[in-house]
Amino acid sequence: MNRVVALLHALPVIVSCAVPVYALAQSFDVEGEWSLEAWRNVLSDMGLWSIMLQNSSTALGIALACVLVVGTILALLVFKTNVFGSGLAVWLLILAAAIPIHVTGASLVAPSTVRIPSRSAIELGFAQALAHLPIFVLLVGVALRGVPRSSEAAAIASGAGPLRTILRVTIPAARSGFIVATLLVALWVSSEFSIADFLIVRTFAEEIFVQFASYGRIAEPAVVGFVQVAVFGTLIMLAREHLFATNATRRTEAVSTRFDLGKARVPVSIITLGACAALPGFPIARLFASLPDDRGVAYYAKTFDRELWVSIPTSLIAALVCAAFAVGIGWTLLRSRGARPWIVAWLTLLLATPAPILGIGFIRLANPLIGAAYNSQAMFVLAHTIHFLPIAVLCVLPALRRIPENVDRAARISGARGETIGRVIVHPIALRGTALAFVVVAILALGDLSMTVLVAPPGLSTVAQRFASLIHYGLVGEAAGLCLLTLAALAVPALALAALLRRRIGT
Amino acid sequence: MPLTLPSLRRTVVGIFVLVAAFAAFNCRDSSESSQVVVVYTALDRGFSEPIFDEFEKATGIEVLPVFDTEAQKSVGLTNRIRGERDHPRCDVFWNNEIVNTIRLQREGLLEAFQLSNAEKLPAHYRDPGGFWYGFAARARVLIVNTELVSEDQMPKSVRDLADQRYRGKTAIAKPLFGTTASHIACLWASDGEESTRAFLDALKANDIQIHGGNKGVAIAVASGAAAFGLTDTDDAMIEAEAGKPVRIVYPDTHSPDAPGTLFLPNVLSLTRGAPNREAALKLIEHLISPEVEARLAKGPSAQIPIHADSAPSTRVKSPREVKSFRVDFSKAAEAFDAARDLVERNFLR
Repeated sequence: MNRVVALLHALPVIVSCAVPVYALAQSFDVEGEWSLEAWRNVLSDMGLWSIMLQNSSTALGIALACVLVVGTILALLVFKTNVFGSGLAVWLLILAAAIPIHVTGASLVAPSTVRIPSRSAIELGFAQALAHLPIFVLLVGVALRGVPRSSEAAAIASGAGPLRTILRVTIPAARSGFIVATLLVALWVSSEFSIADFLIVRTFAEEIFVQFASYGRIAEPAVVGFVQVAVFGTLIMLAREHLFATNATRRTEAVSTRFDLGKARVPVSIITLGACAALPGFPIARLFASLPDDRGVAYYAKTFDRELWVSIPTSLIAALVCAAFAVGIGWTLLRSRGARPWIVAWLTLLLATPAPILGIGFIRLANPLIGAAYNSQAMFVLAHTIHFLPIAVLCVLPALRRIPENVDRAARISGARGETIGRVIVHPIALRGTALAFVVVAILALGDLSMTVLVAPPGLSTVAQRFASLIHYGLVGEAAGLCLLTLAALAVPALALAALLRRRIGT
Repeated sequence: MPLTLPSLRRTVVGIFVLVAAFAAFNCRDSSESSQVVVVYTALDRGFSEPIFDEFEKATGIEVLPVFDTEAQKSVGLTNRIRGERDHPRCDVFWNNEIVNTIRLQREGLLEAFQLSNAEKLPAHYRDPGGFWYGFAARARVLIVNTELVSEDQMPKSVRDLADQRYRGKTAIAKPLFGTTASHIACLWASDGEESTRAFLDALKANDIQIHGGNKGVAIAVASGAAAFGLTDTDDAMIEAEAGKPVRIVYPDTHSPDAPGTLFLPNVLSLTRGAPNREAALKLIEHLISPEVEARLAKGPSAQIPIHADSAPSTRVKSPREVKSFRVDFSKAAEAFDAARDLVERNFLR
């Protein structure tokens, strides 16, 4: 039976891998002929590359600098000091992280009146930084809370002050969390196109769509995407020990050090809580301010019921599928040395491939292959699964790493079969990680625009698509209503995430 | 160490059953039913959806639309039809401009059909071979902020977008997509490459604002962020009827020598190998009618009727009332790639 289960797990890996491989292979295929024409079309245009590199690196540099500086300070304050209301701060950060990127981005860069597109990569960088700050703080915060109390206590006992201890002990010990958070933010910033499009800043993500619209084929956008895959693939491989660490970890001490702020505790607490409240509060306040007075919840529920009925079930089913497969794939990554390089390669490829390339490749592959499902909601489920399964695997890995190898080895020696090991050992321990994967994928899928816009079947559209459409037509009030309904729908998984993280980080 | 994959048999089987049930419940093979028609529509959703609802009620044929906007990058429709050429999914392509439909026709992706009463449509706005039929046009107009531009300074031509008195205060939509891209291709077809290049260079030198779409242009002008801009009548009318301080100018109609205002009709076509041909033809016949034109004309988009039996609109001017820019749309389709390349390489950098 193990073999059957292994094959079942291999299926989504192979299918999801086929999509970027197909898309990248298409960069050499011009109208059925093996050709380098697309490469010549794109690479010969040095002016384009110069602009894209300049814009992308500016936006990325500013976004990363902001999240690293502000995010680190905020994470240290919330997770490593005795500020008042740190629990509330975490809840606020989780709420902010659950707001889809296009909602946060639009509220940051698109006031309800009008703005002149600045074509500024600097503005793009700041907008992206603010949009991704909450998730960065949470990821780093989890890592900071995982730093052994004994290490910090030893440093303090040796005469080091709190600041020195944080700089010399805490941050270096949490470097994996910093690397993972920075890498994920960099990936999201360079793959996300909605804010770049709104600001009319030509970045790699934006250019993929422009090339697709210009040439009407996969080849040219695939060339642009290939560069991103190469850059991020290299970065991911360099950071693979932090992203996909296969060594078992000790359970960290239950209580983490919290440094005393002394007399500054009250003002720092107010500033910290204010900053955490502003992250979800700003977009939500903007949305409420944009709502017309004469329309209630019933109106919006009726107006957007089709989008909600498409987006919510498909996002939840995709999350369920991803969470279920992620445990088996993650377990294989940790326990099977033979399969490990392949799974790492798959994770790297999927994580590094921009979502629009996945969307373009998927729809081209799906049309001749999956028949009737092409016109159904299953397209959204499949697209989300391809897009977010690697993220789900990353979510369950920390939980799976806590299972010492000798435990399942002993169980096997005692005659337990894989099924029993899974039911008795792996599932219970990985349950929280599985639930985390479910919640994260549900949130990401509900907010996804860059892939779903390309795969939407006839008669169906998602909340994110409708939102983009409303914003385009200047129907800000309607868009605000849709966003608030979506946020209400997200409240359930967000609260579940909050409950999970609350235990995990001990706030 | 041997592979000790945890058996998630029940979970995995459960997931598969769930997904299979979901897929089976939702799968709908349009090729199996004549009571379904798949429409790829570039007309704004808010304007086209009520018409589809009306058609569904009248005929019992379910309409499955795929919408597209400039905000969604316009990559969906024409490129999707190209991508599906071997396994067509779309029955009717409702384009909100004409040039890209002609490009699809040239690529052999459309099928000719005979529309009853086709002669009621102006010859300029229908294909002689029956591959496409135009109806309900929009004009490419200048929307002018009357608080920023005095009556005697009103722009008269699209060339006035390069007027240095309004440096940084004129606006245009990103000319890679939608009607603005088609407009540039029409200028190229009519005036040639050099003239179009000079015009784009002048716009760039004048630091023209580039917005994500025509709606953005109209909003920018209405709010005073721009003095005037080039947009479509539907976007301009919404601002004008909302009481904003704007005026709509039909450009290039100020003298007998002026080329006239560009009118771009909505265009309906049947895709080659359409899975629901019969239902598609019924929908097309329904759409190209004075009733639908009247509805589109009365609605917020204020589309301009061109059907011979349609009553003229009191809100917008038609090609019967103002001089229309008589461009050869086939030539514009031919010029489209070169014009787009010029925009992409020179204008947007």
